[in-house]
Amino acid sequence: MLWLIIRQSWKQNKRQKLLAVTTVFLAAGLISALLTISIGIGDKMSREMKTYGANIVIQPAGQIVLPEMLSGKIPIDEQDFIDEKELPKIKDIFWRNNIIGFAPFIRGNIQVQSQSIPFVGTFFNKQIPVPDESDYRTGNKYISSFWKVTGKWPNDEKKQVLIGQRLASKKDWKIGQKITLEGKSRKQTVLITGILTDGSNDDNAIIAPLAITQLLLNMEGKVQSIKVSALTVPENALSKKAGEDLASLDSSEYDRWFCTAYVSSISHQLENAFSNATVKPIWQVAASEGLVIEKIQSLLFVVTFAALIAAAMGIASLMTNTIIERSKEIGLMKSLGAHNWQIYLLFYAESTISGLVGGALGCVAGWLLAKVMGYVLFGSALNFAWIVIPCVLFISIEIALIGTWFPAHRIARLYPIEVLYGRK
Amino acid sequence: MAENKLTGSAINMLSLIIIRSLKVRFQQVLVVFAALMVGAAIITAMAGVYFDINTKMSQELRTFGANFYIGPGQGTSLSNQTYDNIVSKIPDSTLVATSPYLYGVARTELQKVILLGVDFSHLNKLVPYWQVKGKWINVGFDERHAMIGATLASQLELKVGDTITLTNNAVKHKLIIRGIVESGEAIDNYLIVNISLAQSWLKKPNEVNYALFSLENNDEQVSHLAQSLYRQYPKLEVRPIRKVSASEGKVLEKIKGLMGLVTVVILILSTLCVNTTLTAMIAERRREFALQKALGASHRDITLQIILETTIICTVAIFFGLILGYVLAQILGHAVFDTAIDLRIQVLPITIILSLVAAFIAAIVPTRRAIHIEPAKVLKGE
Repeated sequence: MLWLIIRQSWKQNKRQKLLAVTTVFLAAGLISALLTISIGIGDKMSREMKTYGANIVIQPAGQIVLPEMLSGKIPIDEQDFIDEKELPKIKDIFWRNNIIGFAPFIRGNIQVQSQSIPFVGTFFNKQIPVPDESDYRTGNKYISSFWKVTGKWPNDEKKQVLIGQRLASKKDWKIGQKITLEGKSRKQTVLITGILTDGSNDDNAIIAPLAITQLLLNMEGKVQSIKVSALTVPENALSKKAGEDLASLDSSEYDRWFCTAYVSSISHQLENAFSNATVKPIWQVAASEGLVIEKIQSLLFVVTFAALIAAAMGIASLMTNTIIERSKEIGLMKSLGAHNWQIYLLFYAESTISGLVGGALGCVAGWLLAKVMGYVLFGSALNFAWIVIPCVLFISIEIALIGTWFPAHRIARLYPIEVLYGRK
Repeated sequence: MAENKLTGSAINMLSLIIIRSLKVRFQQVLVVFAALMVGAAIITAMAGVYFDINTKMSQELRTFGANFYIGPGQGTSLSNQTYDNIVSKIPDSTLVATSPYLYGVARTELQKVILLGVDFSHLNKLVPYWQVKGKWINVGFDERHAMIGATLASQLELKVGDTITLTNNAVKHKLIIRGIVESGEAIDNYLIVNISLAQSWLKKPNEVNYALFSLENNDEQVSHLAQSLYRQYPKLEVRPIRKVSASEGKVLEKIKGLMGLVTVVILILSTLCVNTTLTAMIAERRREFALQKALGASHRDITLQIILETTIICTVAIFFGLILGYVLAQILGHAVFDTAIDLRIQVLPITIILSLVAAFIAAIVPTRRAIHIEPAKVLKGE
């Protein structure tokens, strides 16, 4: 019987039902798109935040780092180094897929035209075999996207260098020019392929492939520091506790910490992988990116919530209208002996159907919308979290039911005679 | 005269119909009103947040610290006066924090350390990312306390509250450790003291090595300032710290794009929601319009009535929607950014125009249908 009434009502009142479903559909589409974005945004933004550069630094244990201002002016008695052969170990830790890239560094001074000039050795875009990936490429091209290179990036295998923009204007060196670098025991003629602007002291330096630098500074097979760029999740209470004292974690906390991509747990794993190095988060990047991503995420969740309220209002008002319109029908049903609960059941069943149909269509639309937005903003699709579907279905049915509650109660309370007579 | 009277009574009749129509169906009107109001409120709030997001996020991005560097050029040095001069030239609204830096080697009772002099009064805004155990020093004249890098602290086995004594032959200066700093950078190896103490202890009065600035950068302020300072102080090395300043622009652009897109989607969808609600409201009154037509109402009368009703409900709803939207934007601002959202003037026309457009588009189709009603059929109930 109920089924018959519902079927009849949907058949007779196609336009009205269509409106109800459309409203739910729009609301559900909006909410599912926003939810998808809120969930996926952390990932996408943390990739965008990689423009701030590396967030982890690996240094030889016990090394004292001098301020850039003073480097070279105060002699350091004994320097510690990291073995270059250890580099592939970075891609051999538990969180290897979160490592976006890394670049080793050596800093020193070199004579050019018998003048001492700061000299930096690093990777630009170097192929380095790591476990699982024999053609893995890494270097500053991947981790220092804030570097502005005019001209071309040097080839790591050739005798090519970048020069800092200040040095270039001071010496009047041009792209394509060849200069001779005089090391302690060797000389090397290199080609300038580009000019680097990065706003640090490297603007006054020559930046060369690691191999050439090692050769000229007599430091074969050694590196001074390694910068690593890793995708991380924002810090929370657990990671702070771990950072203060690792021993204070119990075993389940330790497991949870170890298996979450906190910057501190990635650093810890890197430290274990290297034989004699300290690994530290660069808090300028690591702490700040977490804060900013959290802000964006909370902004989106609040916006989603606001949109939810708006959608709920829209649906509720629509339901009220459509139900009040049917007061005559209800009056007739009551005078034919229908109980109040039967009338409630009818309304709730109908709005559940609207909610379900609209919600399901809305999920599809939201999925498409989120995909489009992902492409427009980040150039790649947002991952669709399956949790969104039950959430949205539940929310849209819930909204439809709540929207029905008020008018259903009002109408069920009516006296049939009043309604049918037309006084009310 | 007679014609005037007639129009007068027509207007009376029209206003009577409208007032009665709003009064009798008060509950339905209230519901539509609520839907419109919430729609307008959401539009106001979202547009408000969108126009303010640039400023707000650029403040948030200041957590990355300094984005501007000024140091001595070849063969020159930077003095206190020059530094003060430069600081006074930066507008207050742009300057978030700044500090001079001075390095040197000092002897303590335990071993030689590298001393770093800074201006503590701005430090926690200049380098908010420092992980500090203990407390920041928040005043610029405190020469009895110091902060210490984590690596150095563990070498010297110092804890918060311990004292470290600087010695220079007979002269001693006691410092109480207020906080231990971990930054992952070179700072972790230094003893950080007040700049005035560093200058007098290192016998470099009036000198600073360089200065860092954290500047608002939502409107290219950093590059503008770099150009103007470069002209005024050609001998100094003036440069934006690209790692921060360039990235800032990129990230801001992304966030703006994101918010813009989300705002547009919400605008469109909430407009459509309002639209369907209004459509339903007008469509359900077929019987009423049929009766009016049967009694001799012209198409124009019916259209006028619908338009007037819609306008009245809309105007009131938009008015309250604007107020509610303002409140909503403030709640949103406090929840996310801990500050109020400045509502720009552009928000007003956007809300009003969008809501009215939504309402009138919603009115068109059902009005047309109402006009083409065949009274006999509808009234008979077919």
